[in-house]
This record gives sequence, structure tokens and C-alpha cells, in this order.
Amino acid sequence: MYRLLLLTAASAVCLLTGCAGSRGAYECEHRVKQSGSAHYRTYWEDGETVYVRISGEAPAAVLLDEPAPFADPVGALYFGQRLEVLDDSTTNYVLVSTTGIDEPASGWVWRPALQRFRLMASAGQTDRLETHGGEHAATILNEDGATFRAVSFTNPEREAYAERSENMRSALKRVDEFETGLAHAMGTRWRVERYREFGKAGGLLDE
Amino acid sequence: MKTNTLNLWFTRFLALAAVCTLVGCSLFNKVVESISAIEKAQLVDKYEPSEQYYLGRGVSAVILDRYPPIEIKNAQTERQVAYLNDMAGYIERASQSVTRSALRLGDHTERDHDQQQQVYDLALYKGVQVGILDTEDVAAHGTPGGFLWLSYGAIKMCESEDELAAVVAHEMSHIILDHGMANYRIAYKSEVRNSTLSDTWFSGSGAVSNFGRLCVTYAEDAFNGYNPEQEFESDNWGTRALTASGYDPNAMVAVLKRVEAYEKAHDVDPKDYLAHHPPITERIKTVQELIKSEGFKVNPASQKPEAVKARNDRFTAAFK
Repeated sequence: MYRLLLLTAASAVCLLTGCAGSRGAYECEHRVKQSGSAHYRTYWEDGETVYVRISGEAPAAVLLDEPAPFADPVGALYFGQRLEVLDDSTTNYVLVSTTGIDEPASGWVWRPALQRFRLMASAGQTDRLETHGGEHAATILNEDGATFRAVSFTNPEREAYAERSENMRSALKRVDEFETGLAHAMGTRWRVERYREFGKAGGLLDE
Repeated sequence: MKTNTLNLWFTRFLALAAVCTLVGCSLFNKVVESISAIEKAQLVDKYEPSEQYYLGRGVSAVILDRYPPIEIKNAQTERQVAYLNDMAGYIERASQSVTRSALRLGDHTERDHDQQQQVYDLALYKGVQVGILDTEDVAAHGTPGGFLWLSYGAIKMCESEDELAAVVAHEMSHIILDHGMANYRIAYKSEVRNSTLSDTWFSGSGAVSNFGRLCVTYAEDAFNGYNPEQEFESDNWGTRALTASGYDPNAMVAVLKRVEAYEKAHDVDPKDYLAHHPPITERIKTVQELIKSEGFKVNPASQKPEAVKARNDRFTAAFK
């Protein structure tokens, strides 16, 4: 019995220590540079795996050939895409390479478009859960280390539930129509090219 | 020997059960905590771009119920919407280096370290999406997730592209600086509010109806405008963004003066969105001081007559 109690206590201690350790590592990984506004930005380690946190429809979901807002696009990114950090020494952009089944490519991506965890729309198999941010948010890690919000607004089903209100359903239809019309009006060109052209045509950007 | 082996396995089993119980309890508590949060329809402290986007869709739905949008169904409306979205997308990109520090933006608002980091890490799930409200009222609303709604009245109040850019930059700053979420947390302690509209649209309780009621609460808050401190901060960021984009920073002063003239010419309803803004004369003075103290210079290339003409020609072609 003594051995049992000792083992149980040791397990509990290991569990607590492990949790504290992993949280410490999490915070360490989220190191911030201690100067000026850079103090608040999230930085990455070279070789670290990161994921795209914005939609492939977002103008920022693009690899650029230079770390500049109006550089030439060299490839598209999509939500949840896995990337490897190659260089994180500039302020606003991170040099990454694509991995996985796609043809490997590298380019610069806007820093806030990245995050450490891959977000998923559904749970799948879960084996670990960590707090993520405040007390009302939780992140579940599955066996692949992928994450998603336990209960939140990520899941479009939440919106579908809201549509049970007739008023909300008809109002959301207007948002759908707007987004469809906007996508048609903007066409399929790279947005970054459109924006650059807009700036140059108005004399706002240097040639 | 056999007894010892059994004891060892029994001990391992009990230890494993103890660990599983601890982990299970932790998991269960976290899940219950999260479900509880959504049932109360509270916003999480830290949220993802996709979460903001879906909330923004719901908030936009409520806004569009009050002010119907123009239908993008012909060449003219397509040109208007494309023009506005090119402008907003351009400003957003050109201003990526503009500070998001509350301190550097005039110290009007307070953010703790986590909130400030949230603002610096904020990304828009689908970028800025600008739509037009089909009303002559002067109204502009930014929602979480990047939706920006401008009324025809607000657009037509502007007399040049630079002035319209000032309106867009100001409203975009409310989105980028996370003002909506912050305002909502302060005003309503992050909980849903009962109102006639929410009661009409969503009956019952639970997570399902509460998500909708949260959208209504947030939208009604947006109708009332942001708090004065946030307006000052947005004037500051908007002026910096204009400068970074090559526009004339004095366009912010010009557009605020047009708002002042509008307010004098119209009896602004106390429920109207403009009524909740800080005194316009104070805002004008603060922006003028900012331009002077920071030494914001007008981009000489953008002020060449041909460049000014090119901008105003496309503005006129779209809206005049």
C-alpha cells in the first residue's frame, strides 16, 4: 500500500510538473524580443513548424518574393497549411517553405498570418487539452498535435445554429450575397497585384 | 514470485487509473468551462481570425437588417465596390508597419501586455471586406473579422479620394486595434444583453440562441459607436496609416471638418452613431497637433497635379 501511495503521489507530481513544464516551454517558445513594439510580436525559431491561420481567400495568404507588402507573389497559401520557418529576422515578414505533398516552395509571409497550432474544424481524436489564452478558451491537441477550439466560433455550425432564427437566416443571406458579389467584382487576380496597381495609378506608390 | 508480479501489475493498474482520473478530470473541467462560456455567450479572451470572421458575419447580418446593402449586380456597383476594396486593401498593406502600440497612439486607451500582443498578432481571416449601405445617413461600421460597412451618405460627404481614404483608414483602425471586442467587454462584461431585437430574433436560451443574441448585442453596440478614447486612438492610427499609404495626412482633418459641418447642418439624433463620438473640435485639434508633432510630411510624388487628378478622377467616376 505504501508503494502504491508513493507511486500515485509521484505520478501526480510528474503530471503537475509536466503541465508546468509544458506551459513553461509554450511560453518560452512564444519568446518576444524585448525592444519597442517588437516586445509584443510573436517570433519563431528557424526550423520551427508553423501553420497558416487565415483563409486562402485572404489577400495575405500569399508567399512573396521579398519581405515587403507589395512584393511579387510566388505562391498561394491555404488555411491550416503546414510551413517550416527558414528565417525570422525581419520585423513584419517570415521566410517559410512549404512542406508535405505540395511542390516545395519558399517565400515571405506576413507574420500575423502564422501560428504555432493548426486549427481544425472538428475534434477528431483528442488526447490532451491545454488552456489557450483566458479561462474561457481551451485548445485541444489531438495525437498529431493539431489543435482546435473546444467550443467557440470557429465552427461554422455555430452560425448554422443561429440561422434557426428566420430573421437571422434572411439577414445572413444578405452577407452571403455581398461576399459573392464582392468576389466577382474583385476577380481572380492576386490581390497584392491589384493593390500595387491601385497605389501606382494614384501616384501613391513609387514605380 | 507470482504474488510479487501480481502486486506489481495491480500497482501499475492503480497508478494508471489515478493518472487517468486526474487527466480525465482536467479535460472534463476544461470542456465544461468552455461550454459554460458559450452558454453565457461570453467572448473568449483570445480568439482566432476565423472566430472573429464568423462573429463578424453575424454582426454584419444585424447591420444589414437595419441598413440594406447595395446589390452588386451591375457594372456601376461592381466598380464602386471594387474601388473601395482596392483602396482598403491597399491601405491595410501599406500600413503594416504602422505602430499598434496604445502608448504610441496617444495613450488614449489602456491595454495589458496580453491585449497588446493580441492586437499585434491580429490578422483578418479574409482580409478587409468593404460593403456599401444604401442610405444617405452618415454611417460607418467595422465589425470583428474585417467587415467594413460605409453608407452612401458617408461616401458622398467626402470631396476627394484622400478624404474617403481617411474615412476608410479611421474605420479600419477600429477593426485592427480590436476596439469592438474591447468595447464590448468593458460595456457588457462580455455577456449578452437582452434587447427587443434579440428577443424578437432569438427566443429560448442555450448556446444556440446565445450566439445570435451575442451578434445582436455587439451590433447594437456598434450602432452606438465606439467610446471617445477609442475614437481618438483611431484618428491617430488612421492619420499614420494615411501617411504610410502616401495620402495627405491633412485629409483626416478635412474629413473631420466635414463631419463637423454635417453635424451643424443636421439635428443629430441622440441615438445616432455620431452623437456618441467625442466633440469634433477636440478631435480636429488633436489630429492637427499629431501631424505637427510627428512631422508627418506629404508624399511629394502623390501631390503632383497629375497624381491628385488621377485619384480624384477615379473617385468621381465611382461615386459622383
